[in-house]
Amino acid sequence: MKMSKIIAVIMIMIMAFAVAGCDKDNNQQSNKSTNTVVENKTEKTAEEKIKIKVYFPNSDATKLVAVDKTVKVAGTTKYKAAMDALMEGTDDSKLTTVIPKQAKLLGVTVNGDTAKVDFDKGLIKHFNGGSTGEEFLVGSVVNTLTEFPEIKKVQITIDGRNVETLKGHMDVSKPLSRMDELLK
Amino acid sequence: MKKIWCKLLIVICCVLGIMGTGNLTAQAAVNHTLNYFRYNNFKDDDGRNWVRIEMGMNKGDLEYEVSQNPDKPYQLVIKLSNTNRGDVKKNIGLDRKIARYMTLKNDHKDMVATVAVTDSLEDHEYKVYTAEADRKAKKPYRLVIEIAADKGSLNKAIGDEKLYGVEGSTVVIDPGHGGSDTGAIGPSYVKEKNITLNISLDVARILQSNGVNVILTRDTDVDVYGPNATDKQELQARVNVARRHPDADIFVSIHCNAFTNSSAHGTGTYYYGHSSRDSMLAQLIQDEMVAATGLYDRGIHSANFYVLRNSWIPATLVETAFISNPYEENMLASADVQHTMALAICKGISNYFQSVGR
Repeated sequence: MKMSKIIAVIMIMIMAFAVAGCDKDNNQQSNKSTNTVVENKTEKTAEEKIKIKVYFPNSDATKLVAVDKTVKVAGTTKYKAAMDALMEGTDDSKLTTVIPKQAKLLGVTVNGDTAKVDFDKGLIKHFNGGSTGEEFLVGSVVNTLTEFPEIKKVQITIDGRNVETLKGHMDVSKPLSRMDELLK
Repeated sequence: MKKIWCKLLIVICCVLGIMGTGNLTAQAAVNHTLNYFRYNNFKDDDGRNWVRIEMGMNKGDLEYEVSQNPDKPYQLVIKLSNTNRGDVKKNIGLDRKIARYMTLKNDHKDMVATVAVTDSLEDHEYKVYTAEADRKAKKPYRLVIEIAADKGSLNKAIGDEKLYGVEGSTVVIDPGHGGSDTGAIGPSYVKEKNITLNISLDVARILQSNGVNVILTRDTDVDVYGPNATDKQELQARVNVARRHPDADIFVSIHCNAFTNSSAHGTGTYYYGHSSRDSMLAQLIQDEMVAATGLYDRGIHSANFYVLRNSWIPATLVETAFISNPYEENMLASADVQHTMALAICKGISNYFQSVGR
C-alpha cells in the first residue's frame, strides 16, 4: 500500500513538472510571435508596392533565373513578401518551382545583415532532394533574400531550429552567402 | 556362453586381419626416399622475386597434398604420401626474404613438409608441382615448391580493369545514403541508396584487384552512424571513417542526383576546394564518367557539402546521373551501366594518382 502511494505521489509530481514545462514552451512561443509582430510593425510600409527579384531554377537545373515581381508589402515585411512570392512558384514552363507546395513558411526575421528563414518540416518531407535539388532550393532562397542589399547572409531553419542539412548533402547549419555561381 | 566367445574371437580375427593387410600394403607403398634438397631465388618475367625449393627422391609417381592451416597463416603444409625423409635434415633454413625455414617430419608412412613464409600466405602466390628427373642438371625426380614474394598477377586485375598508379594507395568510398535514409527515389521507385551501394561495391572490387586498400563507409544497406541518428551524426560518421585511417589518400562519395523537374539530366561532380587536389580529383572522375556513359556533362561544381567540407583529405562527391529523370533512372538500375560507372570512377581515381602521386 505504502509503495503505491509513493508511486502515485511521484507520478503526480512528474505530471506537474511536465505541465509546467509545456507552459514554458508556450510562453516562449508566444514571446517569439510577439517579437515578430513588433518587427512587422517597424518594417511595415503602408499599402506600398515594391519591385523585387525572385529566383527560380530553369527546368534542367543548370542555372538560377531572376524573375521580376511586384509585391504588396502591406501587413508584412518586404522580406516575407519576397519569400511568399518565391513560394508561390512560377507558371513559366522554362522554370521550375523547387520549393515543395506542401512546405510552409513560418517566418522571416532579420538580425544585422543576416536573414533567418523558418520553414516547417514539410520542406524536408516533401522534397526529393539530390545535390542539384538541394543546391537550387537553397540557392533560390538565399539569392532572393540577398537581392536586398542590406541582407548579406541567409540562415534556413526548420521549426525554429538550425539544421545541418535538408537532404544529406549541403551543409546549411550556418548562414549562407549569396550563391552567384548558380546564376551563370 | 560359448557362442559369445566364438563371436568375439571372430571379430578379433577380422580386425587383426584387416590391420595386417593394411600394414602390408603400407609397407609395400613406402617407396619414396628423399635423396636431394636444394633451394634458390629467381625472378620471373614480371621481375617478381620467387624462392624455389626442390626435394628430390629415388622414385616417381609421388602423391602429395597441399594444405593451409587457417590458424597458422604463415605456413604452407605439404604432405608427401609414402615418403621417408632419408638423410635430409629435419630443419632447413631458407632464403629468409620470402620463406624462412622448412621442417620435414616423418608421420607414420608419410612425410609432412612445412614451409614457414615471411608474410601470411594470403599475400603470396605459390605453386607446388612434381618434375621428372633431369639428367643434364643431375636432378632426380622431385617435388618443386615455388613461392613468390607477393600475390602479383594472380590477383591482379586484367583487361579493361587494369589501373595504373593506384597500387598501395588507400581510398575511402562512401556509398551515399543507406538504411533508414533511402536518398532520392525515382519515378519508378528506384532508390538511390541501393544504386550507390552497388556502384560503390564494384568500385571497391576493381580498386582492390589493383592493389588499393579500400575502406567503405558502409558495405550493406545500413545507416553509417545508426538508425534515427541526426543528420549531423550520420554525415560526421562518414567523415570519421576516413579520419580513423590516417593513411587514407582520398575520399569519394557516390550519389544519384535528383531534381524537382524530371527533365534535369546528366552527370556532375562536386568538391569543396580545400586545395587544388579536390577539384583535380573531381574533374578527372567527371571526365571519365562523361566519356564512359555519354551522359550530358554538367561539369564540376564547388559546393558547401558536409562530407566534403569536413574531410581532411582530397574529397569529391560524384552525382552519377538523375534518378528523378525516367530515362536516367532506368540507366542507373541497369547492372551494366552501374559497372560502366564504377569503372569510370576507378579510372578517374587512377588518373588522379598518376597526376599527383600520393
